[in-house]
Amino acid sequence: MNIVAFVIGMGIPTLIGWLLVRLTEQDTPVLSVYERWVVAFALGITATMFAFFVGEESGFMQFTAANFLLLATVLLIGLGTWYMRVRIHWPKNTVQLVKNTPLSRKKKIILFALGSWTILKICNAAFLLIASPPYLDDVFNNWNMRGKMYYVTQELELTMEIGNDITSDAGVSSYPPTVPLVKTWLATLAGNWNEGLINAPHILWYISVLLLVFFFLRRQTTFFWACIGTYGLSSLPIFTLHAAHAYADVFVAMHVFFVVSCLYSSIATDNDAASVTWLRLAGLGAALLVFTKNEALLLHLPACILLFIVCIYALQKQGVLSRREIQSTVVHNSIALACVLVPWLLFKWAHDLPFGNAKSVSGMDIAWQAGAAKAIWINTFFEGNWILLFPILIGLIVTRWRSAFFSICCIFTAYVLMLLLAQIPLYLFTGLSTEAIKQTGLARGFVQLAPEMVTLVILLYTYKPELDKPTE
Amino acid sequence: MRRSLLSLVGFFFIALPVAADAETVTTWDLTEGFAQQGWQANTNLQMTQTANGIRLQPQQAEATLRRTVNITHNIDVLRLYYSTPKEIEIKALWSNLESGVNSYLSPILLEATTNTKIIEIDYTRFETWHAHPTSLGFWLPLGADVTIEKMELVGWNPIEKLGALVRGLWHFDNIQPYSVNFLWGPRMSFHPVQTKQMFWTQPPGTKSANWLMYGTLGIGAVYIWLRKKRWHNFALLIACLWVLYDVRMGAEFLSYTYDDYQTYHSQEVGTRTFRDRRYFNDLASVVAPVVQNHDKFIFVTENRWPYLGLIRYYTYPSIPTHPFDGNANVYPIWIVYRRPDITMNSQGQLVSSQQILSPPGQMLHEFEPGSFIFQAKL
Repeated sequence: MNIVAFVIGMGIPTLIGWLLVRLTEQDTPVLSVYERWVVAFALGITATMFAFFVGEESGFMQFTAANFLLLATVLLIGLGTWYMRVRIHWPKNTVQLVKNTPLSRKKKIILFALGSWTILKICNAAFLLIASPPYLDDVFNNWNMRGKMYYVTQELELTMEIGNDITSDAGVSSYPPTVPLVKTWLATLAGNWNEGLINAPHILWYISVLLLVFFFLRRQTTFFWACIGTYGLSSLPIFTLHAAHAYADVFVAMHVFFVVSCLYSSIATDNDAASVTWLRLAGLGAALLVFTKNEALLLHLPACILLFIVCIYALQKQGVLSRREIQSTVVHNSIALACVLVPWLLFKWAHDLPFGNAKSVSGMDIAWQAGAAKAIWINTFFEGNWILLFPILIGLIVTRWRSAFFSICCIFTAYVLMLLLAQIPLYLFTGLSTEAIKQTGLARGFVQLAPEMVTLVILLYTYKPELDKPTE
Repeated sequence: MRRSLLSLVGFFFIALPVAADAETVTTWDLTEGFAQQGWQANTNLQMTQTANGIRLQPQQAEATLRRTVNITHNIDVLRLYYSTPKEIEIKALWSNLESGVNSYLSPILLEATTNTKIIEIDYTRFETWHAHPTSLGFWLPLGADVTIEKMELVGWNPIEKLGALVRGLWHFDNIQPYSVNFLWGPRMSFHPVQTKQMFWTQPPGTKSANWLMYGTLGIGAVYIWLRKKRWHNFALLIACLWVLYDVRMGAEFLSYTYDDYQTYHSQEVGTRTFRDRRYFNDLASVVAPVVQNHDKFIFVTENRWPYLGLIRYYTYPSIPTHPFDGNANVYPIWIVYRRPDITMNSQGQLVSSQQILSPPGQMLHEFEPGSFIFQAKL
């Protein structure tokens, strides 16, 4: 029964996501067949949970199996009908990949060895995730606990009983309920609360972000470098460890990478119509990004919007987008964002929920925090979290600064630097320094940026200025 | 060039010298001939020669005991064979030629024991330590009663230390609650005791092995620059180091699974333990159906974290609470975990230090002394 529940529980949102993505692509599909299914899974989960959230908060439903399935069916029928009406005018996929050169025997051996090792580590992570009892704080105090609360109460319960007659009305309940709702949804379908079942989606999210990176790099460079980039991401120790635990940072990383990669692709493509599609997909991703974690709203979304504006400006200057296309894209993305952001903000204000990570960010004093800089230095360069990622990234940005800042790679460069420069001062100058000094939040913030950082490394290393694009 | 680069990296991280755990040891046997060994002590230190060693009992005030060291090999570790009827904190002291100053080690906690116990003290952790001290000894507080049977002064030569360094890079941390926030990664240790005690303290007392990586990169960069080689070779060096580091960390992750399998997945309920939580997860699973018809239950444990949140997760919607503010007379079910001070008296009441905690009731299940399910008759 748990396996059936898992298949249905993952399958239905994926179908919903597929329809959403395909309807966003419209008459210019830009994703490959398999990539679209991965994107559908990634975004469909969030979109479906958002629909459940709106349904419950609107008073139309409780979190029962019948209500879940009814709403999901309505979504499928609605989106499916719309898709069937418009698809007859749409062409089939036309995805351009970088031409591959045949792999040498040495490269095949390297890829085989690294690939096998990666698969072994993923299997290991899956075993740790699914077979282990709850162990980490945020699992049994936040993500899984809230999911169980919703499962038992069948509603979006915000008041959490801590124990010892202590209750919390805000705290972790200020986080978007997406990840806990996924667990509620699966448990409701299965009819029981099973740790392995409700934790299993996390390993799929990890695999999804690896695949998203692979598909993106495959469009920019050869199969060999796409594999190397994917391996690079999978080999980051702290990123791999998150695959083995039911935390939400890989989930956020998946959404963030999709948005940034779409913005990059809008500039990189030679097809003017495809640029519009990529921008619309970025809008869809950014809208759903809001509903992942609080820092997505505070940190990632503003950066995404800024880059979106830059992309629009660049495409308009190059004559790729007409005024009408710009207006249409801006309206489309604004509506998509408003559809998620407005209900979520209204919900937060109505329940007086903070906007920080389980704590308020307003009213913080600004002052140098002793020990924070040393903690960041050690955590980034002298622990087992990142291997050589940061030295390599910094080295490439410095030595290939023209490519980093004055080529198309600047999209990723800008995003990475914006997010690093947004987070690090918070640790150096505010009370959030405890997250750095105690190492409770520092590396996890970087986990959300890991796909962008690894991708930027590959792009900068393979970038050929004379061709104005990465190649082998 | 590529072959020599690969060989250099391989030597540092893969080659293992044959001498495993070889050490040079000087033994001070205190079971006989103590008076001839040149020990110096305060007048208020009572020293009694016994068959098990020299018994040390400070009288009226703290006391010190030391002797001159005439050893040619370097001293890295002290292996102390001791016994003491009660747990006591002493300090090791030493002096060396350079500073000529007494230095006190961080306290050494000696656990109570009836038989001889061995504690290994890693002197090299401390900045003031000199590998060739002129004298060694101990500081003992008033009230101490320690019998020292033997002292082994252990040292390793540079080749042995290099071997320990390479082996130490493959010494893994256990998965901990902090692992999701950071991983210590490979550390540098220079003898087996340092390796064994690597993660006993937070942060570890050893430096990160990332220094080796950066050093290798630095040497490689200088070599390539001086020999005017292609910088592509530097990228190759980075790639090799990256893969080696990945193998090291991947092996650590596999060790997590191996440890879990050994202690948890392959064991029966009742004997299995899960990491540092022992059998608490199983206890919480057993408790959940017992409390399911109760809004709240009393939960008493040695430490609030992580047990309160964890049992609350298992038993939700039944919520754990404390026994104070009249709760003991309202909620009948008690879950007690690792509180050996709480027992049931002849009237069926839970008591601790002669203080009555609960109304009379009955023990539903005992996991071990101090961990049980109790139901009060309300």
